[in-house]
Amino acid sequence: MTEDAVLLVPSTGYALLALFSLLWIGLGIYWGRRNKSFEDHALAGRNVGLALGSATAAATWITSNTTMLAPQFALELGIWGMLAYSMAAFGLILFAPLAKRIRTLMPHGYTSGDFFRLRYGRVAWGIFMLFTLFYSLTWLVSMAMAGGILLEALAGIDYVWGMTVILAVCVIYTMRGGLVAVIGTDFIQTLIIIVGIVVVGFSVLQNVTVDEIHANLTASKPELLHVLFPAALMAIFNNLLFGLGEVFHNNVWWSRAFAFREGVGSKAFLIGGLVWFPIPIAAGFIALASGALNVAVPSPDMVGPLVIANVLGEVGAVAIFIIVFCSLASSIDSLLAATSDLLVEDVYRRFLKPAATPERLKTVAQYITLALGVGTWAVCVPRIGTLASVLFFAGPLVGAMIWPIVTGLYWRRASSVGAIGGMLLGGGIGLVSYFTIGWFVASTIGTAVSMVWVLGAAWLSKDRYDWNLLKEEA
Amino acid sequence: MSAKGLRLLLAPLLVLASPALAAPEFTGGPEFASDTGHVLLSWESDEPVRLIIADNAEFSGAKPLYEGSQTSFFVSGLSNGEYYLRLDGVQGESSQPAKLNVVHQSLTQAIWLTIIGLIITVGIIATIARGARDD
Repeated sequence: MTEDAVLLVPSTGYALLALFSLLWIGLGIYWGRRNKSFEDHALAGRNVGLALGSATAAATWITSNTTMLAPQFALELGIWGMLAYSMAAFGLILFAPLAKRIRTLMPHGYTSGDFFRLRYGRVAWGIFMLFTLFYSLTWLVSMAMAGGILLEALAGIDYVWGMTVILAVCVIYTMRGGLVAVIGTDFIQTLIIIVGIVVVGFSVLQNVTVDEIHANLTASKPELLHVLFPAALMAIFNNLLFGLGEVFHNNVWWSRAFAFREGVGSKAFLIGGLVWFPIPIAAGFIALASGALNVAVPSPDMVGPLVIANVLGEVGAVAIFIIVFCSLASSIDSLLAATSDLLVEDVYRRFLKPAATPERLKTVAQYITLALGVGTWAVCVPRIGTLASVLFFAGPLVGAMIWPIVTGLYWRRASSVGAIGGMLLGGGIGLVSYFTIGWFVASTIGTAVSMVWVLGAAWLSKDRYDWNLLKEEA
Repeated sequence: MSAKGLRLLLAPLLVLASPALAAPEFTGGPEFASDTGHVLLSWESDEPVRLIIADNAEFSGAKPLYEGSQTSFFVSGLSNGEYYLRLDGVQGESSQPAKLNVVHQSLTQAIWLTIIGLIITVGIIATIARGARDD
């Protein structure tokens, strides 16, 4: 990130930061006032409807990566890169039928950890916890760091201040309001992000035609239009499988599957995925227009804001600031809530205090949310840039969990040996390929190895799982 | 006397009074390599520069990429080949040419991995679509 690429005067940045911070905290406290038990706090009373459900699915998946990294993908990998990023929509779209199945098989479930423990036993659950906590915590750290860095780049707000405010706001409203507040704010954030992206897209087209963009790319960046661009081709399914692994395993999505009203989950995730699909394409298109608009790009992660500011001036800079703030908040709050619920349900209640009351569990969830926020803040303060890129190591780990989850939900013969071996071998070999070939193959290879092992183990298995074991009462 | 005339008269004095500017210099060069067709170029310069690119060391037919005071520029979308880059300072000092060698990843490997990715994806969709037949 180029630090001198400030687009807004700091006073405007601080004013926007204060305005949206007050808005989210106020709404979080208001929406959370009826939460009494852990079920109200963690799963919004299992009564979330279609509109809020679809919005939260889309908003949580719109991270700062969607608005900032999607343009970078397009600038680096061209048309295929733009499509590769949008392939992550299939994570939500294919989770739609899984959400229905999860709700049917586990009517009293709380977390994705519950599924691994009941379906595959303690060893598989342990590996799952290791993988998912690595993914969730690195995602949380990368989002918080991105928040600080982006606010500094966009408005000259000091990195530590920006990062601290974003984290503190999300921690406060998630603690007070739980999943209800997260989903409610997600709804508003989705509307703001979609309107912002659409306005920006049309504004770009007012300044330059598609023909001009095509002519510029043909002359100066021909590989971006090349059908056989090797790295971009590899990125397509790698990104799709990374996205699938992220959604299929993580408690962010499972907690929503449990929280949505009966019959809502499958529709909400499908609509969320379809709403999300064009957003990286619109964001990527902005980057492809940079050459035709004569926008000099000092570093690839700044291409989106620079083009928007170039096209829309100060209004554009305000728009990108709000879009980025909403994208960050909608992901950080969800991660805080889902990771806190995972630790409360899978560790505190199952191992430490099985007899804890619902009120006690809610209080513990709030303290864990606070602890996660403080811990993330402490890791982010030194601003070790390489920490954010650690998230990409998680690609093969989450890819290796796809087949154990899919077969575990549909096949009685899917076995613990298959799940454990699939996760360990897929994750391990995927990581090796990450370092020996590149990030754009790691998820594909990790998922492929896991698939072969899981299918082989299921084929050889004589086990026939009893689905009723998943209907464990709280 | 017009302002232009005054500037012309004083130009030799201004040149003598100005400290000598160092030639612009690429950071991390002069040789770069890329297997994705993109590279982030950065440099040090005391003055605004013009960054040019050519497919030959003589810079005949060179194209301008950037002109201004930034100290980095992201180049992407390059096809396989050798490229030569140079920074020209506005006062005439030029950097040593840098060479960028672009050799994209193996297309065969890319196609194989794409096919594998497609098979896995179709397998996942088929498993979900088929559902739980042995309930």
